[in-house]
Amino acid sequence: MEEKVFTVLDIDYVDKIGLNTIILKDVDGNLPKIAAGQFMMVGMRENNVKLLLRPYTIAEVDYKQSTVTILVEIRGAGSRRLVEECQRIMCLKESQRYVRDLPNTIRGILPLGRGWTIKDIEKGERILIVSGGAGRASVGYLREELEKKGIETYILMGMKGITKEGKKIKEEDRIYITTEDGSLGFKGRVTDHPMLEGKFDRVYACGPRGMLRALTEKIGRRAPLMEVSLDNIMLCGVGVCLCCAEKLTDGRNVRVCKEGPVFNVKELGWI
Amino acid sequence: MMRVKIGGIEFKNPVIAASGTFGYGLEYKELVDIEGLGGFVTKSITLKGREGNGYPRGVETEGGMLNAVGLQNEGVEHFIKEIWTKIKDCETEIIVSIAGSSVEEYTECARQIGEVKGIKGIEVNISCPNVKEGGMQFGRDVKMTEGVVKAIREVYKKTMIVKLSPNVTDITEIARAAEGGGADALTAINTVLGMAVDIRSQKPKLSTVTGGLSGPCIKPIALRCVWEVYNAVKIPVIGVGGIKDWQDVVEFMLAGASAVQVGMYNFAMPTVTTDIASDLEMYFTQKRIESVSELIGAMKMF
Ligand SMILES: Cc1cc2nc3c(=O)[nH]c(=O)nc-3n(C[C@H](O)[C@H](O)[C@H](O)COP(=O)(O)O)c2cc1C
Repeated sequence: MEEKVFTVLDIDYVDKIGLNTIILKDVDGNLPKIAAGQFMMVGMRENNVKLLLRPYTIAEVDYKQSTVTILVEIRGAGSRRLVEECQRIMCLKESQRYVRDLPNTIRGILPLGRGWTIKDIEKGERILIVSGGAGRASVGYLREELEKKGIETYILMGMKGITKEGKKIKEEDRIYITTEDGSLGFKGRVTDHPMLEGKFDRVYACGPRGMLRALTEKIGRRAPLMEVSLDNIMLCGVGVCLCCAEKLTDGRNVRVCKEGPVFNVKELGWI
Repeated sequence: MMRVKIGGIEFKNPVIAASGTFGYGLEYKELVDIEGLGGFVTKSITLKGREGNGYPRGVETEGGMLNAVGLQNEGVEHFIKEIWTKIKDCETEIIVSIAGSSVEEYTECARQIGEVKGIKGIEVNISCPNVKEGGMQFGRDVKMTEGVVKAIREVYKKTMIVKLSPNVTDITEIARAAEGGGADALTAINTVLGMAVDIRSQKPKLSTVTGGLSGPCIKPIALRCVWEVYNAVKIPVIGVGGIKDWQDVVEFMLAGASAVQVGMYNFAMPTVTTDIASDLEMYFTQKRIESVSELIGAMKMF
């Protein structure tokens, strides 16, 4: 892990699915190697009321451009400030008044945590990636890494609903979408989607705890391997504060930021 | 210029990372130049391992954070065998924090630590607000404080620092009790009791309902405690609570701190301790301050 300085390359604030897509460019231009499922702690140069960095899944990586993409859902003061700050930096850049000085940058510590287990996948395995809400951040990079190895994936993404601007997300081959309001794809929750009746060798899932639990019930018992990524509240992100602890089936409390955020559901005792 | 001696330990500068916020020094290795630190205090260790409290254990609040970790650690034996061997060659001073729920646990833990060559000192945590038994109970009672400190002193001969709780009626009587029991120095303060409620779920934000508050929001409380303790005892005081930059450190020293610890701010800015140490050095040079002692308790009364 290392601490790096980023500038904002783009912020897509019209993503009305509720997520802000932020592309951060590493100022030094030498990103460390990042595995699918790892995350970064993101913070501002100038802290005010909210001081701590926030964990975000690394949703996309572009080593050539030295950029990482994060999807930020505004949940509270910290995430709101981060989005506002990125917008401010973008506006400054667009108005040509941008100087690459310190306050106009974003701080990030990366890569953090243990990502998805994908090393041992064999060709021909049927892989399913499921996301709920902001868990969508986990889908893209994982899928890309798998496709690089020549492995096909099925994707199921659940969201509350989308608006006109969100229409660029669409169902394609092997990509299924559910919306609670029926504005796109299957109307209902991810766990209601008929595709889950199929047989999969591995399931990777990221989303709210309730969804992960229901999904484990529904499909986790049948799949030889199911992994989930947890989003416990993290304060330090590097394993020292012990606040993000998750209790495993063997009774141990482990750190989601260090031993996770990806866990085999069998370790979690949700089955 | 920046050197400071506390008990038998000489720190190369007065900036120390606080217990529970720097792990065992291993976690931040990749982000922080440990040699730039005056020292660090380990996460508190107990005689037997503890699993700590349930999740959620921490939440950010205005200008700070609440935690209710509950002293999760793998016990003193594991520390000595598995951790100490990995960190003992760090180019900085390491103080081992110990905690317990009975006098016997404290003394046995201290005795075992005392047998390890190379460990120069302990910080006795009698101020943890997040455990049902022991912890802060000791630090809230004059007799219990004196009792536990005395008992540890009998079995532990190297530097003993006692960490005080702000959650008391009069911190000076606890400070005097610890001094009377044989402490070489005092650390003030541990976290301040607090709580937070989620108005949507209408549930507390911590599994234990209440927890310990830390960060810049507690700085005035910590400063007041340091000043009161400084005026009540003769042994050195280590100031901690809300420190984020070199100006804060100077403030604590003027109020009576011989050295300082930085806690929560490590999370916000992992390099904060080494940044402060180098900023402080610059300040000393500019102001022609030759030794830390020129600042300690130098606050002018109008
Ligand atoms: C997550 C967390 C864990 C802590 N654990 C311990 C501990 O194990 N032992 C201890 O003596 N103090 C512990 N503390 C208290 C700190 O060492 C320090 O006294 C307190 O946080 C105030 O300083 P600050 O405002 O700079 O954080 C902990 C604090 C935090 C935030």
